[in-house]
Amino acid sequence: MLIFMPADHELTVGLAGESGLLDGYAPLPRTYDELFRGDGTPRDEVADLVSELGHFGRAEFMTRQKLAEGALFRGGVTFSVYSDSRGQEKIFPFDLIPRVISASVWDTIESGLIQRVTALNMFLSDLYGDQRIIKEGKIPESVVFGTAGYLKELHGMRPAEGVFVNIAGIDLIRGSDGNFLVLEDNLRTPSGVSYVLENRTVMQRVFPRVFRRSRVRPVESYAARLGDALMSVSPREPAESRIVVLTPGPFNSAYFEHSFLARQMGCDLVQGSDLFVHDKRVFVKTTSGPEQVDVIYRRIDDDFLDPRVFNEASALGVPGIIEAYAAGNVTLANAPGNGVADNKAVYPFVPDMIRFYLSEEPILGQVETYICARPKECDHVLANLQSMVVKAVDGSGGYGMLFGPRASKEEISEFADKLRDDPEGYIAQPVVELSTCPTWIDGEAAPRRVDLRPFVLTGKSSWVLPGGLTRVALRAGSYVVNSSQGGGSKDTWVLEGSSP
Amino acid sequence: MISRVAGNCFWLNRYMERAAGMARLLRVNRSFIPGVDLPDLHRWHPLVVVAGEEERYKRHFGEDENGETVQEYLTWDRRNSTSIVESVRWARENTRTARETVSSEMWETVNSLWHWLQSGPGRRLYRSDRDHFYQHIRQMGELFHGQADETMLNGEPLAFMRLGRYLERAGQTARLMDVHYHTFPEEGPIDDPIRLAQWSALLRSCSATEPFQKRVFGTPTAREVVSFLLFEQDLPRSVSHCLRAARHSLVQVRGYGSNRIGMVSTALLEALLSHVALREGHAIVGTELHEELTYLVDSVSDLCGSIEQEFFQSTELQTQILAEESSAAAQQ
Repeated sequence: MLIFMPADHELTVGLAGESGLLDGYAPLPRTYDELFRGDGTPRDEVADLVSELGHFGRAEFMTRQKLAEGALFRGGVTFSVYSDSRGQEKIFPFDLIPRVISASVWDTIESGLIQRVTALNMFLSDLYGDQRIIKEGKIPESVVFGTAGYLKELHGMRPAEGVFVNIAGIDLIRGSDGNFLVLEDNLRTPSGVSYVLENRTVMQRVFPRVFRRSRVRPVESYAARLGDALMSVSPREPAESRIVVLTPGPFNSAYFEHSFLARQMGCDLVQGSDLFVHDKRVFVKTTSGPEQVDVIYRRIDDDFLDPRVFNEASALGVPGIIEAYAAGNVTLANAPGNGVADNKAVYPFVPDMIRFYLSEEPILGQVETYICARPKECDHVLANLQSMVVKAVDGSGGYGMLFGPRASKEEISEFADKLRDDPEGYIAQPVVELSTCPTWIDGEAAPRRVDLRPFVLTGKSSWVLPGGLTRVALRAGSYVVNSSQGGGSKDTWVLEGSSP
Repeated sequence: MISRVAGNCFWLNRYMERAAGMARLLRVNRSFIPGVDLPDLHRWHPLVVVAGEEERYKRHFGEDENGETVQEYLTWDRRNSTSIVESVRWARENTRTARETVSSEMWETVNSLWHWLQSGPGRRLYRSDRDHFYQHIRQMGELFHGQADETMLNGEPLAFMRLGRYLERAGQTARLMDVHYHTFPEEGPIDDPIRLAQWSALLRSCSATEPFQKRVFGTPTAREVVSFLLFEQDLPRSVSHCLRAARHSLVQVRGYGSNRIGMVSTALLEALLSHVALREGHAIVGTELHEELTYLVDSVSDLCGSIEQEFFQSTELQTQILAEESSAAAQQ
């Protein structure tokens, strides 16, 4: 990626009389801010960074923001392709003010994530096996089998090394008390890691000095770690194993990421039509003939994976691939059928899973959740809709939900009807005041709400990428960080520990 | 390499070559026939023919062979699959699809050319300084091919890129000559000023003016021009050079893999090469030349079709190979 890079000595200090970047920044009341205390002073662990950033004048900062966006655009780090016939592409809006997490806070997050993913993995293994957790009454049968995520066709299948969740993206939010809470588990095809890596590259180039002085944990090893994790679950010896990334194709909004990961891992990026199954083995069509494939990092949803087993109309998938998977001849990562563990109906039971499988208390908290299928809880939700977030259990991306505090009377009463009609279809949570981070808006730093998606890789053991994707709601007062609805992203800095 | 991605590599270079070739042709046609009072019809109609767009053009514009209309059609028209903007679009689409294989440098070049054409600057330059506009596209094409050679591993993807580039180029040179063949006098030097201007435009369209001057002295004859463009080994755009370069790439490609894939294409290319070799030194003009050029254009097109079948759309062949392997294993 080509980018103009100012030499360090060219770093300009704000023009005389021009105010610093973060001067006068005012955090929102009753909301945790990632960089500043309530009284407007910087938090200890970011004091140096805040003063470094403060040296930049607004004009200089604006110049660098433009450089960063130009670099992302030229490099084609884009999403939302083909919203019109001219093939317009947008970059995922990128904000240059980083979100910073201290070493000690990160340690807790890291062990909490590994604990959670381990339990979720055991849950999947159990569900597609003995179903002990149901037999022992820890989770109702109706919750598990009532949702779309459970694939009965796969009962009894065990993926290589017993790993169902090779790549997890666990969404975290931070409440007003500063504690991180799990908002959502993504165990199917979580996306966003390419932005983490590209954002970091751009930050290092645009703010070389600030970056060097801040002792930030590197993220560059992600692709190599992913490659290792995938190789470790190959049915054949590593030396003769072939890994591919399977994409729905260039029209998919995450195609950039699929291509990015294949490039970074040095493996082939394939579409469904590049693969075929012969004698329960998967082959890729190459210019020198068919080559057997051992591990498929697939970014196609379960439903489209195999027209013989699931959606017959799917042209994206590979006929017979599930049979090859069942025969143990190919590893699919993530394993098919994970949707049963990351849907909103199962979410309330995850802390119990952790206790059941690991005999441990959950390290990370999660958002209090009312299960509308339970009449008492449903009544409570109906009585308090204006202060609740109500979500459809099969919805995603911020769609199909009611955000009580922002909804009109009509919207609330309409939603109440839907809820009464189909209580099993919904869960509800009290509104959490998402934490904010200073964000560059119209020429000044303003508080905007953020979340965090860390990525957890699991092969023979688990590894967490330091940081993850920080998404930011760019609209004032908004709680919705999704890229499809006006969200942007930030670089996430996990600091090294205090020892030199 | 993945068959489909090999197809992307082959095509992204063909499209870029096509865009740059069209830009070169349009620029030459605008600027290098000065002082020659040629009616628009004779001046611009041949370009529509070279593009293979006669029929569609007629459907949209009837008998209007106004220079502006033709340039607009060949440069910007989305309905014309060979317009510059469409070629660049497909070059970019193929590159984007194969980004894990194509170097970042090449991607940035085609991506920025596409955005330049899509946004204000390209359009503005088209209106204010069209020579410069076409020159820029041609130069981006040269940059792109240069980057392929300078930034790609010397492996299979690059070999498919070159294969696409040279076959497209061979076809282009033959088509260009075919449009001009009827203006070639059968004997003697070309001294009619209009003819001379057309000829020199033909050479220039193949970036061959200066090379030609270095090899041929005095007033050229038709046979010398024809022979130069068809057979000159050292000329990067001569048909013969392009076919030999294509052979080099095809051999390289086949060196990576099984004997089964590429047999037909190799046979076709070898036949075409011996056909050309037989004619070297016997420059032809008139209808015979037209027949020869038609044969070349058709053969290159058949060859591309066969490459498509054998290397890129090979499902049947691949299954067959597996079936043969397993039956061979069963017999042992």
